[in-house]
Parts: sequence; C-alpha cells; structure tokens
Amino acid sequence: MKKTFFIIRQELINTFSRPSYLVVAFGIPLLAVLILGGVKLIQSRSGEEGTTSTNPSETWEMEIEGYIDQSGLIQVIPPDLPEGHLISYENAGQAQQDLASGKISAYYIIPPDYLDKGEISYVFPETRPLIDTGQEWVMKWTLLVNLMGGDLEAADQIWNPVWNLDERNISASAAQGDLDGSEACSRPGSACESNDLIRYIPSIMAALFFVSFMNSSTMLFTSIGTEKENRTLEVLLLSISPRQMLAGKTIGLASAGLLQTMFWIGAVFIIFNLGGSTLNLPAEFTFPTYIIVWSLIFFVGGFGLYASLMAGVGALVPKMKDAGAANLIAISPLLLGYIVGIMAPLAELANAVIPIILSIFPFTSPIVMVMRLTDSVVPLWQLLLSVVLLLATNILINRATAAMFQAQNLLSGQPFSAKRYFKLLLERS
Amino acid sequence: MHPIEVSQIAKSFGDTQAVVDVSFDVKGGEIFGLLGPNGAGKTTAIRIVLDIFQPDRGKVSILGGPMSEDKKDRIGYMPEERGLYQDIPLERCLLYLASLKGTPDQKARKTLNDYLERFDLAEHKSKKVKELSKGMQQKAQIINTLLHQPELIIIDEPFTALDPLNLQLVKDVMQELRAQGVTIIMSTHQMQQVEELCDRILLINDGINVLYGNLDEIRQRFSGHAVMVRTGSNLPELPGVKDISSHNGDFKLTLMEDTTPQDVLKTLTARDIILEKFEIAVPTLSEIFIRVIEEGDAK
Repeated sequence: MKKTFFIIRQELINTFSRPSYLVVAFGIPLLAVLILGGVKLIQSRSGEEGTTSTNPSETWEMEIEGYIDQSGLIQVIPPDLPEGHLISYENAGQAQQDLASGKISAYYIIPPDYLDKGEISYVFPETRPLIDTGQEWVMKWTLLVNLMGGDLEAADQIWNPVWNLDERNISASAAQGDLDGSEACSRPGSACESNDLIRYIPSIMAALFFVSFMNSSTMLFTSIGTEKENRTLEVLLLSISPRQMLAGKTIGLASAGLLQTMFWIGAVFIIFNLGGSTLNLPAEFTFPTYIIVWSLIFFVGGFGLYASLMAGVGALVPKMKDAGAANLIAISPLLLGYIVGIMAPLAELANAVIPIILSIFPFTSPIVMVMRLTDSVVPLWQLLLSVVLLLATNILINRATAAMFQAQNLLSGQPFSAKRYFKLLLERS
Repeated sequence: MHPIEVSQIAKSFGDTQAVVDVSFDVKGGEIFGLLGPNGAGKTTAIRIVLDIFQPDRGKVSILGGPMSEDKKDRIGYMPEERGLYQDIPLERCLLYLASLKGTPDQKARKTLNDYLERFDLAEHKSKKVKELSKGMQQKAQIINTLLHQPELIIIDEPFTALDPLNLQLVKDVMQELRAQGVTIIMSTHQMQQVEELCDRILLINDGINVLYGNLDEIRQRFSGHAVMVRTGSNLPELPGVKDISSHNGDFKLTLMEDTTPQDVLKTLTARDIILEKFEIAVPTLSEIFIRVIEEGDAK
C-alpha cells in the first residue's frame, strides 16, 4: 500500500511539473473566467457612466437636441423624458444658430408629409465627434407617444409588445415532463431555442469530456510507454508488483485528470452562472449543481475504463511510435460517444433512441450521459443503470488489464496485435 | 543453502528457445560471473532468477526459497540498458526508486549523499538524468542498485562507458561489498574484469551451461601442457618439447605427454640458457571463452 502511495505521489509530481498540463488544466479555465470577469467589469463601469440602455422609461444623461415639426404631429413631449432635452424650433434658421453655438447637439426636421411617408431628417454638425446613435429612440418614442394621442401606456405596449417570449420545444419538453415548456431557457439544453449559447452547452460538455478522457488516459499510456522504452520498468518490476504499479499510476493520473475536469466544469459553472447579461443569458438561467456531481461520477468511471484500456495497449505495444493504430482501437467507442455527444443536441435529438442507448452503454455513457444531463432532465433509473453498468465494466476491464500487466507482456518485443489484445481482454475479464 | 540455486531452467518465446538447460548455484559473499556471447540467454536467465519471467521448466531458489514481494527489497538489480527516468532530476529519481525498495527517506538521503560524493556526482544531483554523460548515467545506475543496501546484487554490464578511474572505483566498491558479505552476480563481456573480481563463473552458450566452476580451477583446466619462457636468445630444439612458438616476446613451449615443466627447466639450466621468465602457461579468460565458444572445447 505504501509503495502504491509512492507511485501515486510520483505520478502527481510528474504531472504537475509538466507545463502543458498546468496550462490545459488550470490556465485555460482561469483565463476564460478572467476574461468574463474583465468584460463584466468594463460593462459595469460603462453602466455607471450610463448611456447604453434603450429602454425609453429610463432616464440618463442625454444630449440636448432640437426639432422642427412641420407636420404638426408633436403635441406633447413624453413625460418620462428629462425636461429640456428636446427643444422645439419654429424654423431651421433658429435651430441652425443654436446648433452652431453648441446649445443643441443636433436637430430633427419632421416634414409635413411625415404621416404619409414616415421620413424625418436628422441634422448634425460636420465636426461632431463620434456620436452615440443610441439617442435616436428619443425622437422615435416622442413620435410614437404623439401618434397614440399622448397615451403613454398604449405607446409603451406598441414599443415593446412582447415582454416575455415563452418558447416550447415539443420533444425536449416532453422528455422533461414539462409540457408547457416554460422553463426551457432556465437551464442548459437544446430546448432553449432563443439562446444559442444555452443550446450548445450539451455539445460543449461532450467535447470537454472527450478531451479530458483523451488527455488523462493518454498520460497513463505515455507513462507506461516511457518506462518501457527507458527500461525503468524492469527496475520497477523488481520493486513492486505489476498490479501495484497499475493501481498507483491509475489513481495518480485519475486524480490529476479529475482535478483538471473539476477546474473545467467549475469554469463552465462559474461562466454560465455568473455570465448573466455578459453572455446574454436569461435572468432565470442557472447551471444546476447536480449536473456537476453526476458529471464527476461519470468522469471517474470513464477515466477508469479508458485508462485501463489504454494501459492494456501500453502493456502490449513494444514501442511508443507504433502505438497510434493500437490506441485508436482502444478509444474507438469513445470517438463514437463524442460524435453522438456533439451532434445529437445540435440536431435536437439528445433524447432520441440512439443517444439514450449510448448513454447507458458503458463505453459511451461517460460522454453521452453527460451530454444528456446537460441537455435535459434524465430519468433517475437511466442514470442509476448507466452508473451500475459503468462500474461493472470497470471492474471487468481493470481485472483484465491488471492480468495483462505481467512482466512477460511488459518486456516483450512482440508487435501489437488487436486480435491478441481483445483475446486477452475477454479471457482475463 | 546458497543465496541462489538454479536447477535446469528452460524458457522459450514462441519458437525461440532462449534458455534450454541452465543450472548453477551462487554462494553467499562471492562475486559470480555470468558469461556468454550475445544472445546466449544470460539476460533471460537473470530475469528468471529474479522472477520477472516464469521458467517453462526448472526450479529457482532465491534467498532461501521462491521469490516474494518482501525479498524484492533485499535485491539490487541493474539491467544492461539504463533504467532511470530521463526527465527528472537525478536526486529525485534515485530517492523515488529507493522509496519503492522500502528505504526510509532519511536513510536513503544519507546513503545517497555518501554515494554521490564517492562517485563524484554530488554537484550534478539537481540535473535531469538525460543531461548527464553516459558515464555519469552508468554511475547513477550503479548507485540506484546499491542505495537500498541489498544483500544480493545482480548487475548486468557494470563497466560500460566508464573511464579507467571510474572503472577502478566500481571494482573497489564491488570488492568492498563482497568483503561485507554481499553476494554479487555480474554479467559482462569484459573478461579482464571478471578475472580480477570473480570467484566463480558460469559460461552459457545457446541457453546451455558450457563452463561452470571456480575461476582458478577452470584456468588450470585450460592451461594445457605448456610453459612460457623468456630468454635473451633464441631457443634450440629441446627434448620433451613438442612445439616452440613466439608470444609477445616470450616463447610458449608445448610439452610432450611424459614431460614435466621441471624436466624442461632442468634441461634449460643444464644448457646455461639465461632465463628471464619461466612459468606454467595459463590461458586468459578471453582465450578460454574463444576456445569454448568457437571451438566447442569445454573440457
């Protein structure tokens, strides 16, 4: 046990002293969170300076502008506009004079045939610096209020006829047992058609898990392969048993991989929960914590499975440079899970029959189930069945790989053969 | 019971028979030479002794019985190809490998510092292993084998890449360990070092024992019926001498069956031939090796 601990420690030290791991595991998620924080900070500052809202009921510091109403439409200035910010002129000469003196920053001309054509003119000085075109709503709002005969409430309803868009995706809502679909955008998932980012979260999670599995299990394969090549393995085999070595390496690298995944999922969690208006997310959107918990369970199960499969390849491949095709054989189910995990939510088929089957099948469930979890509410029985199958497969594959971890295989110069690999896997499991 | 007892082991890999029939014992506190040409089966035999490979046939007893996890910590093994982590600092690498041998950290650090000083590697301990020269890596590998203070050492080609000074240093260390009662099995192609260090040898060829026993006895066995003579002048024909040949300024006199070296010495002195050297001709281990392997003369 003590020796296994030494191996775990050594694998962790080796991994943490690798700059590529530090950048991928901590640098990228930290950078993403920092960028989001930076954008939020800039937004909050500019919000304090206040000129960004387009809501006509809000007030803020505005440029003073004028207007010449040749149509006779404007009878009232909307009471929700700050007083003195829209000055009426009888003719263009007076307005031009005030524009030249800087009393007003620009003026509008509403021609006599405005009601027929809907055209108005906007006059501003040639030397005017970059303008905030956000103020054009002031005149639009004024015209609308007057078109409605000064009825502020009716004008407001016309200005923004829909305050809340209730979107419904029949398949996703049905899967969630949420037939009215009123909460489609309150959590990640392809059911939220009004926000692409929320829709893409399941695919993002599938990609993230695929990269994480590949990264972590490749670390185990590389560790074994390097020791085979530099003959350290022969020395190690006279200090520890092959099973101790496999257990130490798997636990050590799983811990490093788990830490990396926790950072990544943590970054996703922070970004989506705190991103809010920065990412244009609905106010009611939250990233549920239970997704994090289940994802970590599936990560541990998936890592155990694929790390064992890769370790088995590592035990049988004589040289690292010959390992490409052999690795592909071991990870091919993971690739299938990745493709389905990416594509199904984009096609709004996350809860179709094939994704459901693949989310229970242990070789693809670590990716596809995580995708489904982030897409919609997965029935508990499916989650439990998937975890049980994943655990059982882990036990069988770990046992098979441990049996492959014999000195005879580890020190053999025999070329890798897929037939031999699967034969050993089936026999030993 | 000897520390190592090997009886009729055999091992095949597919169609290749690496070890056919090898038997030997290694006594406690001796330096035992395991010799043979390339591909003779030495490394496979060592791996079988160390339980890295299971033999197809035969029995191995190591440190009083079959190999166990506990016994692994009492054995030091240095494979021919260097078994060190290339990308980590030397000190960390050696301490890690010592920890896997069950050596307490403080003890390992103290022993390591002593060895690093002795092998002139102290100032390189923070360097990555791959940054060290081949000779330094070889010394580091030897330190790794000795660091946990094993009672049985199996060492494959210990003198590779060493300059004469370091070669002598390693020989000194091995002799000191023998004096302390440590048993050493050494596999090497450097016959001169075997002659200097080994008490007994086993020569295997094509996976079979061909020569086994005390080194002095083996050399005597191969000495033939000849004497080496150095004189100031040429030698005349001598009674009882079958053949006279020249060897690096000396004469090798091959004697007839019924002639003894004493007979030849009497004849030479009776003829007033001034002798600068007169000794029984004992072949070098290299010569024995060549005779056994090439000529199949295993006596």
